[in-house]
Amino acid sequence: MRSEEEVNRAVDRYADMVRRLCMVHLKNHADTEDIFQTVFLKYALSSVLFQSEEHERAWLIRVTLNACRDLLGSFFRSRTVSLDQVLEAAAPSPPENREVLEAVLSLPAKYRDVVYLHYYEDYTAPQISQILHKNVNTVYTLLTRARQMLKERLGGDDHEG
Amino acid sequence: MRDEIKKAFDAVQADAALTRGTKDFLAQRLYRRPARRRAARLAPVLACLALAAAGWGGYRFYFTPQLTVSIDVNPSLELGVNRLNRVISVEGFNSDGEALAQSLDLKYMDCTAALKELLSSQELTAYLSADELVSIAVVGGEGGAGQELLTFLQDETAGQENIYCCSASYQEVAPAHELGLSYGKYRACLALQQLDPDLELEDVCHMTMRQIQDLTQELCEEEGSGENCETPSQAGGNASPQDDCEAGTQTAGQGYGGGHGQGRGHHSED
Repeated sequence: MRSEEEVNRAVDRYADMVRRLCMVHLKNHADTEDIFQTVFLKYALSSVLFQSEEHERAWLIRVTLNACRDLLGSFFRSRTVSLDQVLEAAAPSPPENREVLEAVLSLPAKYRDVVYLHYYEDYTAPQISQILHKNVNTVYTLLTRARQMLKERLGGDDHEG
Repeated sequence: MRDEIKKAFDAVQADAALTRGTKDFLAQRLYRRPARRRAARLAPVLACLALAAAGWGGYRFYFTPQLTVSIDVNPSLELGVNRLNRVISVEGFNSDGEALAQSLDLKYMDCTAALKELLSSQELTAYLSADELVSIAVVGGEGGAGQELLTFLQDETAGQENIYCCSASYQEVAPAHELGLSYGKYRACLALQQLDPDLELEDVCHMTMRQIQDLTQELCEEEGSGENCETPSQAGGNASPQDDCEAGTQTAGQGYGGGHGQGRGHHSED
């Protein structure tokens, strides 16, 4: 088991990342709290020796996404809220940010992960394929389609990326 | 698009309450056990301690003597009796006493049953047949327990010659065990020494009870006064708890002399 200091350091360092991943998948704050506790409890109890900070970060992304999927698949989970409420709870964003977030969150679930990991965390398609345990070509396909959908939703050439 | 997505997601951050709540949860769950759980974990230990304390208390209660019965002939034997009137120790104070203690299985018996068995034992009967004197002293016994036992002994030995019963307090006979004597014998030796201060306790303590009585009687006669040598036999009965348990007092009205105790020689204990 990791020390309390080590776990607190990880919470401080990766809390924002876990929060964003939760927002990508979850619809309310209570679920986010559950995921935080689950993810960092696993981290504390894990005996994995991380070779680098990148390794640690990728491990936490995978654990967070799995925890979100488990929670969404839970039979007893029935707490859902509207997308507006999710955005309100996520951050008091300026209108342009809100528009972008809304566009990303309205994508089908399978596209959200790759968009977030590629555009925000700067992972390449091969890296994403390793984290998500997906075929690289599948990741490329998902990214291409996601990009098209976002362009359609955000409109115009202003959003070329 | 990348910049806009970065900018939008940058605004999403874990608030302080979420981070603090997660840390508190982990600390509570993994690093600091709540008091209730600690108490629950301690419960078996506390129960064991309580059981041990109760056991120790029970042990102390059972194995603390409230009175001692000292039986002296030549064998010197003491029975420790607890508050439940059970014999908790049988101790011989000379080799004859140790042999007698080993020959009788009196431990944990009811005290009165043990004394009955002792009084009817072959060993004691043999001593009485040889005209030896048997002294039974009840030492201690607060709250009437000593008196009750003495009354029982007086009734039990009422028809017996050469047996006398008396009582004493622990304070009176406190040095006895340091000198290697039973309480009853120490008391008799002390009474004899009072009549003749020149006598050393070490010299008289090796005598049998019969020899101690005969010598006491002889000293009384030499003094020519019976005032200090009045015996229960002269008074016509057993020694009462208030009476001194002087050597030579008898239960069944047999006077001094009468053919006893001409020998003044010291019996060896061994």
